[in-house]
Amino acid sequence: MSAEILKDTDSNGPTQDFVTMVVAGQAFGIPVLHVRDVLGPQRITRVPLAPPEIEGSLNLRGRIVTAVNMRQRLQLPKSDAPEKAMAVVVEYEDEPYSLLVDEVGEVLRLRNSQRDNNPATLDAKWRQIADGLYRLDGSLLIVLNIAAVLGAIRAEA
Amino acid sequence: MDDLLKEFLAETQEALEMLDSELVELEQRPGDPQLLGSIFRIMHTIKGTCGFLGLPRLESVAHAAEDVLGKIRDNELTVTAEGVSLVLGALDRIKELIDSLGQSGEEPKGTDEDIIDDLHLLASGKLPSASGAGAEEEVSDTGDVAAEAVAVDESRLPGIYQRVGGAAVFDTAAETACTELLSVTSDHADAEAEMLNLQFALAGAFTSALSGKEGASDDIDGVIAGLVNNGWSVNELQLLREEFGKALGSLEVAEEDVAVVLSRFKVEATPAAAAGASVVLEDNFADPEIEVVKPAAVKEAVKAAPAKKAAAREVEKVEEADVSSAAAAVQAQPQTLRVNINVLENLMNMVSELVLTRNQLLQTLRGFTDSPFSAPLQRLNQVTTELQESVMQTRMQPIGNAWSKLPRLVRDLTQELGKKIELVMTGADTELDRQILESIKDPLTHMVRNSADHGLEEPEDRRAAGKSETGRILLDARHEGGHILVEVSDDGRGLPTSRIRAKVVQNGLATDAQLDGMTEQQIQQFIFRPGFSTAAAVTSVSGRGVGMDVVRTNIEKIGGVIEFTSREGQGSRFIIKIPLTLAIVSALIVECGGERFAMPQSSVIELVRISKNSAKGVELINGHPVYRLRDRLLPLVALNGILGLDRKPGEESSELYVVVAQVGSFVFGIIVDRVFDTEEIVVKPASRTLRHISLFSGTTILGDGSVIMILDPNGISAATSEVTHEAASEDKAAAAVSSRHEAVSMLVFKAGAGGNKAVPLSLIARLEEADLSTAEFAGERTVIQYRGGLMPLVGFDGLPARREGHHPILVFAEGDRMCGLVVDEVVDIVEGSLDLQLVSGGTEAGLLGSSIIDGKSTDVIDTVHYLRQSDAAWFELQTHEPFGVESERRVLLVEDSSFFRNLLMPMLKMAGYRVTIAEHGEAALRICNDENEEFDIIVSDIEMPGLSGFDLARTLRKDDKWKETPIVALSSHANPQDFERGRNAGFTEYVTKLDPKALLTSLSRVLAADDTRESAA
Repeated sequence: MSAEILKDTDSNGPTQDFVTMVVAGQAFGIPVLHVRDVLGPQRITRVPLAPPEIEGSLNLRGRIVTAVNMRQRLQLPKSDAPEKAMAVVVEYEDEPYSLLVDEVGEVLRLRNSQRDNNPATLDAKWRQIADGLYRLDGSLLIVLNIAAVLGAIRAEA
Repeated sequence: MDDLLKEFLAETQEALEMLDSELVELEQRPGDPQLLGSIFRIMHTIKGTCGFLGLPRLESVAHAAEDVLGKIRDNELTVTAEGVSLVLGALDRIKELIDSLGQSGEEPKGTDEDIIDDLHLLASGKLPSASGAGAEEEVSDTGDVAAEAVAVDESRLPGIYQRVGGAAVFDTAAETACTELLSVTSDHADAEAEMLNLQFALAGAFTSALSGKEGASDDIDGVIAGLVNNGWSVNELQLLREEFGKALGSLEVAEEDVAVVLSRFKVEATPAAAAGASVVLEDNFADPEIEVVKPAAVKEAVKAAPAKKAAAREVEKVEEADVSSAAAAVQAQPQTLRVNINVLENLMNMVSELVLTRNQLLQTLRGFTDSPFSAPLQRLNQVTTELQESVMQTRMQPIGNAWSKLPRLVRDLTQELGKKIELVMTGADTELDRQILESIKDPLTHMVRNSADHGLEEPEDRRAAGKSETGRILLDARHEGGHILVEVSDDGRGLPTSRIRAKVVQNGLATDAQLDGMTEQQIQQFIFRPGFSTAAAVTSVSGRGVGMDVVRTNIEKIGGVIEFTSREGQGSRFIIKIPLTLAIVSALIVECGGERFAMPQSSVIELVRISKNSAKGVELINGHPVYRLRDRLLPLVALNGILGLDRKPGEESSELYVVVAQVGSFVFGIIVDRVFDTEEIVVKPASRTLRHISLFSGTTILGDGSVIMILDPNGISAATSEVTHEAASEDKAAAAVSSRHEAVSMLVFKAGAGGNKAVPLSLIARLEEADLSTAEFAGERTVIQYRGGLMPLVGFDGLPARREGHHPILVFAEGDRMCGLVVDEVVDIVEGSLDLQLVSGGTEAGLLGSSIIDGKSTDVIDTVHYLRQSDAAWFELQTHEPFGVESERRVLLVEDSSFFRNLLMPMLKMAGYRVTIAEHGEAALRICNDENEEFDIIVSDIEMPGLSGFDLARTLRKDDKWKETPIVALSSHANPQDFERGRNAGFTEYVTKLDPKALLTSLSRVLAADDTRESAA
């Protein structure tokens, strides 16, 4: 329904919906179809000897979900309020992962034409996990490449 | 690939498996009509479906095989091994075709004429293997019958099958007719299932009858007879007949052809009716059409009767066969539904979730005594439990499914190897989780093949050994205490332990000395070691172990245990113990560093609580904790240590818990902070990001909803660095075997000059640390107060310890006497082999020899030396030991003191003797009375409880076998009178046990003298 309206009003071509989230002040987006769930703060079981970016495991309605600390994964400083972390659940190679982020924002509909490829100047560690970016009002939204985010953890393992 | 084809593939694969075993059974019971019927039906269904799906190659092979089976059923052919082989060959071809169909979605190109021709030859009785007797006669007979019964346009018969459109049309018509009939008469119990059977039977019967298969009219009659016996009325049959005709018509079959087809549908002409069986045809004869046909049938029966001698019997037989095959059909096709396994897995997850929620609810409600929710919740509780059980049930399959291929395998081996083998399977209906079932399929096959190939002897050999010619392989499954025991045994030649030994040594898996310390049972387990079977020469023995390590690995992967026992000449036996299910296991919940973990109950032996204040605390050996549990030094591993967890500050509790776990034969303790109770947990695989952590085997959700990791005892034992476990020892052949019997834990320490020193851990009672400035004098000796007594202390130089500084003390104890050896530093505990090298020259006091421990040459100390230094009285008070041996020399060591056994045994082995131990005089006599035991020398302690060394020597001297064998006495008394007394009793030599080197010298002297005497004689 809203898609129709948007299509009518937006003549600039196809659009894509993103769940937006904030990690250490930086906005990220994940295509909405890849997001299974958004959860509030959860009880997370620590897993000893796990890779550092693995925060632990949590129980999502009977499924065991591996929690990935996005700050750690992006090599950002630790959060002041880790207990408030929100979880965005995505599926990668048939296994559920929950990405722990500072905040989860609204779902944005963005025109594909707004999307830019990774600029060459983008920091290397961001470039690896970015799938392009959008210029929003005064800020940038980095599109997260889930395979890149989670694949690297696997590779270490 | 479309769903239909997939369905067909799955169904056909199952059917083929069933055929495999049933055909083999048929060979043994050729006269079983029910079996034959079942085989025929399965083959027929395959053929029919292939035709329907347009798979010409499959159809033609199946068709040819079906022809043969049909002839067998009609008694035109007899069952022979060659015939069955041919049909099995056809089955294999079908399997191949099915396989490639499954891969590519189409039938592969090629021809099957070879096999079809053979089958045709067989069917026509031209293969010498098939007995064609009476076939021709029968052909003419049935020809007559057909001519008689078909009053319709006879000329249309040839080619009708092709004209009508083949099996597919009959199938469709039968289906339509049956559906139609079902809508009219649904009052039959199981009408639906019956219809399904009927549909196939009907289509099959017509297909075979009209495709020119001789004598197939009986098929149709048989099907109808089956219906009548199942309580179908003639009215209903008539209806079926009409519907069938209509359906054919609607499939554009020419009217004349329909008439020909229907002419075979002789509703009342059931053999049952004709033979006057007790089937009541009710009052349906009112139907004129039926009445008209009836006389024809009677005529047929009458005509048939004189034509064949035993016609009546024949008819009855057919009837019997058909009726029972109809019954068997119902039995063989229970109402099942094919469900994708993912759906089941999902269901299982959902139920787990439900169980968790239920548990939470119950927990919440516990606080309220009279809640209105309690009644419904009780109900919910009950339903949930039942649901859980049912869902678990869906995953269970009879173990027979994993066995279904074995009869065929054994049969083929029988022919290949020229052996006679009987495969007996019991407990095939024992159910277990399908996941486990899959994992044991291959190992089982492997073991059965091994038994047939290597275990069982040739018929001549068996006869020579006084056994029946037919070897027997027994496969048995049963439940036992939450586990399933699967046993594969044979009554073949067995695998002599001596040959395993030889092979183990040859392949460098262990040394003779190590093997000496093992029981027969332990030695037999070597066949599961990788490398056991890699010998280049393939003998009946070396082949035996092929891939047994893979078998063991597979079994262990699913938490199972496998054991092998064998008795020479009597056969071998494998026992596999596997858990019922992998999905739900019983686990002990423990806490460590604030986190909870699940420990599979199956590997937990016991729990020990150690109070910090207790005298018997955990002792640290250079950071490696050990605990003396009863008489055993138990290596400990702190869970928080290997998991890298910090103990919470302030959590220093006054007691700690040790979970004693066993992996293989390795027993160790895991230190945890707390132990909760046991819970049934649903095992879920760990996320891929965590799977590399070997300490965990999976993850689970507890009743309270929290996620916890499941510990893997194998991983923990591997992580226990101070214990070189099997994994490590496997690369190093020299590094002995999996069990504690095979390698010895050595305590490595620093003391005196030079490198590390070592002493077998088993000789050390405990480790202490004391401030020696508090030590006291007692005569010439240094003593400390220890456990309410005085313990002498000696330094490494053998002199009384100097009274200064803090030092670790190794405490040796024997009885209630103790002695402390003061050392500079305890380094480590490592696994070391007993293959010590004697110190050359042997001049250094206190050293036994040196050994490679942990890659470094390490001196092994002679504890006796220090004991003697510390307390001369020790040896006078103790009674002692003996021992002896030589590279190829066998020594019987009779010694009641475990201390001296532990001391002397390594030393003797070191010197190259093969040592057998007797713990007292009576045991020694028993060993000596065993005919198979031979010793070059016997070394015996004098003072022993019960039979003394003197008595033992006297008794042995009376025995012819031992009268010449040198016997050496060991004692701490070595004065001339003792010597004389020993001589009189029959001892060859008298040695003091205080001096191991003297003992060795004297052993070789005695043996050399013995040799000289023998060679002189």
